[in-house]
Amino acid sequence: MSVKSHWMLVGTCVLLLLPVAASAQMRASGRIAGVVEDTWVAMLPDVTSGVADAGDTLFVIPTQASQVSQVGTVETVARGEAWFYQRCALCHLDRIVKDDTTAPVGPKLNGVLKDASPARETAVRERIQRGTLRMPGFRYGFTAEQFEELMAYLETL
Amino acid sequence: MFKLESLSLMLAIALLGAGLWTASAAQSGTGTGIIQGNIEAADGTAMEGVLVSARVSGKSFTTSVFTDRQGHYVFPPLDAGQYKLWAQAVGFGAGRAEFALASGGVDRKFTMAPIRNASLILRQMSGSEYLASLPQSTPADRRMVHVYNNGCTGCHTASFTLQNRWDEVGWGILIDLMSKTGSSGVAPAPDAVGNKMMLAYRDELSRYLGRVRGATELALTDLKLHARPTGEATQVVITEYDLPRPDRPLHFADGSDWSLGTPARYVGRAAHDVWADAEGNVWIADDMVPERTIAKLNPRTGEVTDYVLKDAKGKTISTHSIVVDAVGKVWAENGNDRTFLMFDPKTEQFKNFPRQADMKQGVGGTVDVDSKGNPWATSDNGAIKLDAATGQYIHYEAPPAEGGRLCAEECGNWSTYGISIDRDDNAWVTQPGLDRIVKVDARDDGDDPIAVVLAPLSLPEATEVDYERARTLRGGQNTATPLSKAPRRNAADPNDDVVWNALFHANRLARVDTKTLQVKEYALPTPYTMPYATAVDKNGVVWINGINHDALVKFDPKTERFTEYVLPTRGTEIRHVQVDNRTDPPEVWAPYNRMNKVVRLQFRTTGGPGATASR
Repeated sequence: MSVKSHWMLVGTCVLLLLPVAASAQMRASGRIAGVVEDTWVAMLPDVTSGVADAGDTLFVIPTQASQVSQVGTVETVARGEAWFYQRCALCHLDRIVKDDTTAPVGPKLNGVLKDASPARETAVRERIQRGTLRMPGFRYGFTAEQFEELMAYLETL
Repeated sequence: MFKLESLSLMLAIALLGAGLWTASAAQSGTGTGIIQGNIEAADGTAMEGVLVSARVSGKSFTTSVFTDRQGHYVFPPLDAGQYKLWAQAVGFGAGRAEFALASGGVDRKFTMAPIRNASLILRQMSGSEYLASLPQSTPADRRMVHVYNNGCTGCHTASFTLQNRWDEVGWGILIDLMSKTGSSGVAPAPDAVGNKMMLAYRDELSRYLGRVRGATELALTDLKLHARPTGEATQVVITEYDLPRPDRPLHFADGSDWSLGTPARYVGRAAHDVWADAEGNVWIADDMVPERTIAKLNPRTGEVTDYVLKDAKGKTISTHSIVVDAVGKVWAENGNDRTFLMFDPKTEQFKNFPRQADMKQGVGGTVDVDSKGNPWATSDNGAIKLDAATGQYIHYEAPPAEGGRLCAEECGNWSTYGISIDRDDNAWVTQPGLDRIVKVDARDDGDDPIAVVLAPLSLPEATEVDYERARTLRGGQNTATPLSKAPRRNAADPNDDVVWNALFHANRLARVDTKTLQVKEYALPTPYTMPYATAVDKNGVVWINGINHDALVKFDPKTERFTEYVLPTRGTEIRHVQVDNRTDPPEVWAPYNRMNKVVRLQFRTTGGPGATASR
C-alpha cells in the first residue's frame, strides 16, 4: 500500500468513526497524534460568523457563501493564488525536491469548490476559519478582502 | 530634467566609465537612459533610505537604488524600454509608476503616505522586525522569543510563520508538524518521530505564540521597525536576477511587493550557494530544482544555464555548496553519493570522485578548496579532503566532545556545518551543536585536530529547564535551547591569520585567530539577524548574511563598524554570501534561498572619474 493510500484509508476511517464531541475534545487538548482527515466531502459544520481584529480595523470574515460576491477578477484570483501559496501550499501541494515528488500532508484542494453548492462553500469557509484536528484555523490571519481573494482562487482549482 | 549637481548621478557616470555596470545598458541596441527623481513624505520632507526598484519588460533582472539624504534617487544608465518603477519603505504605502524610457531620461517624484494599520505594516516587515516586535517586556517572554529564534529560524525566516495568527491550539498543530518536517518541507511519514528539542518547548511556545500572534493583533506602538538606511548604506546599486525553475512558472508574488508579505518558498526555493568565477559568471549550487545539478548565471545578460548530472539510479544529483578554484574548476558536493563533484567550464563535463571502498565517512554539505586545488568538505564528526591528483579521500576526526554544559557523546555522532581553509591550508570546521570550531592541520606530520570551544552564552532569562535540556537533548544549528551560540558557516581571511564565524543563535560574529586561537565576539547591530554565513574580501572586509534579516551586513575589522545593506525582496532567506574580488571595492553576491533570485551589490564610491561635485 502506498503512503498516500494508507493516509487516505486512515483519514476515511477517522471521519467515519470520530463523533463530533470527540473531535472537539481532541482539538481542545491540542495534541494530535496520527489523526488524518483526507477528504472535504463530509463537512457540514455549523455556520457562524468569524471575526478577526486586525489592528485598527475590524475585519469580519463572511462564513456564508451568500454573504459575498462570487465575482473573481483576474487580479483578485492572482492575489488569492498568492495567499494560497503563502498559507496553504505547505500542506496542500505536492513537494518537489529534485526529481522526487511527494504527496502533501493534507488533502489536495483541486475541485474543492468546483460547482459547489452554497452549503458546500459555506462549509469550506467554516473549515478554513475554524481549522481541523490537523490544520490551524485561519480566522485571525486573513482580512475579509484577503479571504475573498483566497476563495476566488480556490474556485478556479 | 537632469540634475547634474547630483552626487549620485555623477557616481553613476563614474561607475559607468569604470566599466562596472554589467547588467543593463551594454547589451541594448536601442540606447540607454537615466531614471531618477525625488521622494518626500506627505509633509514635504525628503525621505532618505527609500528603496526604488526598476524593471524593464523582457528582461530577467530588477535594479534597485536608495534615495540619498536629499530624498533623491538615480539609477545607473539603463536600457531603453517599458519600465515598472516602485518605491518602498516599511510603514509607508508604495509609490508606483510605469513609463517608457528612451535615450535621455525619466524623472519621477513620489510622495509616500504613512500606513496607520498595524496589519498592513506587518506584511512589509522582515523576520528580524517581527521578532523584535513580539511582546518581551518580561524575562519569560524574552525567553520565548529566544526559543522561537533557536527552534524555528534555522529552516525559515520568522516573517513567514509570524505573518499568520493562530490560537494556541493552532500553533501547537503547526509545531507538531514542523517537528517532523525536514528543511526541504517534505511531508513526514505517518510514523515519523518529532524532533525532541522542538517538542520539549512545544507547549510553552504555542501558548506564547497563541497569546502574541493569536486573536489580538499587535498594535502600531508594538512594532519595532528598523530605521531606514542612511549615508553609506544607501550608496549601493542592487541587481536581483531571476533564477527560473523549469518545473514551475515565475510567480508574481516573489517578495518584490512587500504588501503581499513573505512568500512561500514553495514558489521559489532554488539556489543555496553561489560563487563568482574569474570571468564574472556566477555558479550556483541547487538542492531543490529538478534537472539542475548546478547552474551558471551570466550577469551581463541575465541568462541562466542549467547543467545536470544523473546518479546511478538516474536521479538528478543535488548540490548544496559550490566553489570555483584558482584555475577555474567548479567544485561541489555530490549530495546523492556524498562524494566530490568537479565541473570543468571549458569542456562542460562533470567528473565524480567515488570514495575508496573502505572510506565510510562521506562528503558533507559545505565545501572549500585549499591552495593546492584539493577540495575539502565537512564530514561525519570532522572534515574530509580529496587528493585531487590521486583520487584518495582522507577523513579527519574531530576530538571527542566534552560533556557537561551541552549534550555530547550521549547525544550521538555530532554534526558539522561550515568549513573554510585558511591561508596556511588548515581547515576550520564548525560544530553548531557543541558551540565549537575545530582546526584541522592537514600537513602529513601535522598536529591532531583541536577544538576551539566558545565561552558559554550568558542569558539572564534562561531557566534551569533550559540548562537541563542543553545537557540532555541533542542541539544543533536548527534546533537548540536559548543557551546555544551555534557557529554555523565561516570564512578565512585570505590575507590574514583570522577565521570569521557566524554565531547563528547568538547573533554574533566571532573572530578566531588561527595561530593563537584567541576568540573575539561582536554583536550584530540588528537583533535576530540570525547570521548564517560569512565571506571575506581581498581587503579583509567581512560580509555576513542573516537568514532572518532581509539585508547583507558588512563588517570592517579595521574600524570594527557594521554597515547593513537592506535588500529589495521580502523573504530572502539567504544561506550564503560571496565576493567578486575583480573590482575595488569587491562586488558581493548572495542567493535568495526562499525566492528564486540571486543578488549582486555594487558600491557607489567617491573619487571615480567625473565625481567632482556633491550635493
